[in-house]
Amino acid sequence: MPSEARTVALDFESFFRAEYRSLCQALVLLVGDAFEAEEIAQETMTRVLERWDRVGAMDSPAGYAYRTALNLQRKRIRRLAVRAKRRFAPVPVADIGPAAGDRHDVRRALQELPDGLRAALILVDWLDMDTEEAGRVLDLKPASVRVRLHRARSALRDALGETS
Amino acid sequence: MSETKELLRRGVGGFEPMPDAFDRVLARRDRKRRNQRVAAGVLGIAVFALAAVGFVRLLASEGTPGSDPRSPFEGTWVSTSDGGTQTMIVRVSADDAVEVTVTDEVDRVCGGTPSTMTGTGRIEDGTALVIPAPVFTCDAGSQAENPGTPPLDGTLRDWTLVLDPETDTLSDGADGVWLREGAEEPSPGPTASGQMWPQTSYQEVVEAQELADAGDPRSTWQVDPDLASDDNLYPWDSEIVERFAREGLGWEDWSIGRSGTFSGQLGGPYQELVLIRCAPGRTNPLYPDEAFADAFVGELAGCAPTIDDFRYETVRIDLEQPGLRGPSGVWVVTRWEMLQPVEPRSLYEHMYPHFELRQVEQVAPPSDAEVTSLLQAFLGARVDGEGAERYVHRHPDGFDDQEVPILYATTGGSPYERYEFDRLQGPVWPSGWIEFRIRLFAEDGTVVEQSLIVVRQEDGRLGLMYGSSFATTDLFPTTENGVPAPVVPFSLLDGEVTFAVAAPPWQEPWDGGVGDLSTFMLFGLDRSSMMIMADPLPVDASCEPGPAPADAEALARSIRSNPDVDSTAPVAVRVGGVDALRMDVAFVASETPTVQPGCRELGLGSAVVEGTRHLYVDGRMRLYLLDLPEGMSARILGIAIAAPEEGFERVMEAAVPTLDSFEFHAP
Repeated sequence: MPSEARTVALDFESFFRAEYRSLCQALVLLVGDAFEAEEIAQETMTRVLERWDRVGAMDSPAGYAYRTALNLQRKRIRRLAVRAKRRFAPVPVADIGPAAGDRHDVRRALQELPDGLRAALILVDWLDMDTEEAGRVLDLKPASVRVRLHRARSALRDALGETS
Repeated sequence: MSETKELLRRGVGGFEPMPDAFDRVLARRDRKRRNQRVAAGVLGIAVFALAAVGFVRLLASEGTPGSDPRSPFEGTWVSTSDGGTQTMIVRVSADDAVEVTVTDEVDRVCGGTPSTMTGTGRIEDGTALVIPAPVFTCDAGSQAENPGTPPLDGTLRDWTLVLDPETDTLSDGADGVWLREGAEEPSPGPTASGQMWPQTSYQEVVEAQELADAGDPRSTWQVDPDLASDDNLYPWDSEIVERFAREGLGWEDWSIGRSGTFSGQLGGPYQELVLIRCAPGRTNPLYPDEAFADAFVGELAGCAPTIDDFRYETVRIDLEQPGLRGPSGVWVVTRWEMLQPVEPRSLYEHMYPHFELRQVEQVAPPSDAEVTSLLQAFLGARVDGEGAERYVHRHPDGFDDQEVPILYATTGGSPYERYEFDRLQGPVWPSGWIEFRIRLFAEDGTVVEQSLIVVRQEDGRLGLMYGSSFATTDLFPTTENGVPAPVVPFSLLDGEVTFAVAAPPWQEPWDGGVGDLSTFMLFGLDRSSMMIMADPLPVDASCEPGPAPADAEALARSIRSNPDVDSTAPVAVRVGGVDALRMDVAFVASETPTVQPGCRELGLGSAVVEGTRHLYVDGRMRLYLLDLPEGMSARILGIAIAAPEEGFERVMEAAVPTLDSFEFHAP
């Protein structure tokens, strides 16, 4: 009978265990909000599960999941429509520990980046995609990803006062 | 590790997903299924009614045995949906089983040789024929080949044919449509469409593949390993699409539909790719500059339409390898359709059209004079105290289309005496909406600010829509002296507890709330959340819910005894005229946070375990605990508002109107 190509379909639970944490972390960086990140990750994985007969047979189910997550993130922003961006005045965070303060600074700096720059940065520098792979996820030419990446890295370092 | 990655690692910090995330996904999937079943049940009634009508007609006209619901399926059926000709014979056997035999003269899965599929099925609901385990064989004994797709057995499992009694056709839910043998093909609609390109039949594709295999340039261009790659997310960037647009459609310039969405599978087949035709060398007459283009469609705003100044030729195409699949197989456009205008079903769709469903059309942006005139009339009416409603767009669907709150006076009742407004953004392609921030100055000195969108309505007139648009401002849709105003009433415990919420900024989550019916959750500005809980329970050291506390004070003591959190001493306050305890709680500061979400929470039960996912180590939660009046169906009410530390006070200010609005109605 047909298809010798994939006799062993990847089990969804195994896929979930392998990818969920990484997906959440990438979304935390993308949306700057752990709760929202996990909401999107949950919805993403639910959709992957619903289509697992097809997605599980793909060479890169994770690529499908990231693409779905990015689309959901865009749609979520669109749907909420009035989502207020963070514009709170910075206050000292020493009382919550330097690690938390650090995290705040980085997330704040990330959120200041335009969406496209932030997504390119996270896909390449956090998820270790190459620019071609990231380009496919973002619907961009690799060269455009590289340009965005360069700008994002510079902006992030500037915002955090880091030297390159 | 790269320097940037190290930075990002700091951004992720100690974040860990919920430990029960997998179970939550399963539960979410099940919840969706339940909802779908409810919807399907409604649809099923309608389908059954249609089937019954068809069945009665059969009884009347043909004398078909009336007690046998399988009869409508019996007979010989023919499908030409995939370019070949498939014949299906459906028989009803004596033991009540339905036997199905499908033959295909030229089956691509069998390398172009004939195939046979047999199976025994059952009728469900009188309208669906389900074949649980069809057996597929290539008649020549060859191995079926369908590389790049899931196993055929799995694909065919529970193969289902749905009867449409009106047209007397069967549909397999994908693209396969079966007509009774001898029946006429339904006439095509007015829509311009086509099947295969550049080949027109499966046999031609086989020949093109042979040419390509032989290195013949007449067909090698149709081979595209990138397109066949399972992770190709950019099928527009392919020669088959390029040539189809230029040679098949005669388009010189085009752009892709919104952010390039498609369905189907990665590596093919790719379905519902949308292209819109642009007038070459022409500036878009209605949107000469792209300064205000929506982020999602900005790349399209510079595309000048071709039909007239408004409408774009819009084509939706499917790409597939009908013969050999994989890096060596030729690609063809297997289906294309010029999309026709379709009225949007909601204002939201009007503002953000589904390009894959309808012809793309842009709307002439309103002129400055038109907009100014509308706003002056609307705001003038608000100052006058009457007649403002008629300017507000209210789509019948009501989707994202809310009433304007505090229309003629502040929540305190003070009327307005003057106004002003500023443009925030727009006009935005393709529907030309413009967003404004208006200010109304009340007699008592209160300043009301609101966000409004000017949009051209379905009838061509300008209308106003309340609220902010996507990704624009940091502003609440309505504020009074900078504080969000309460507008939406909610209730809990069957109306025993009522409160009002400014929504936005407080919004219900995607799936309509979490927890059980005694818990109400709202998301607020930035990363804040508000939980309203009936009878929250303390949790023990292993995070299991403990016994119900005697009263709010006992619950407060339990929270204060939790070593993982810092908490302030409870302060006596009043909420809705009822005595309450207010306390702030936060996780114990730690340089290396090890908080496990879902556990080590604030000493409250399952309701708050859900909610405090939002309370990070850098956040704080203000708790209001109160004993509900005697006779109500719960003893304790908890109100928990969590926010990041940096915005905590502002969030608390935004919550004040809601807290002030609580009322308790003992039965």
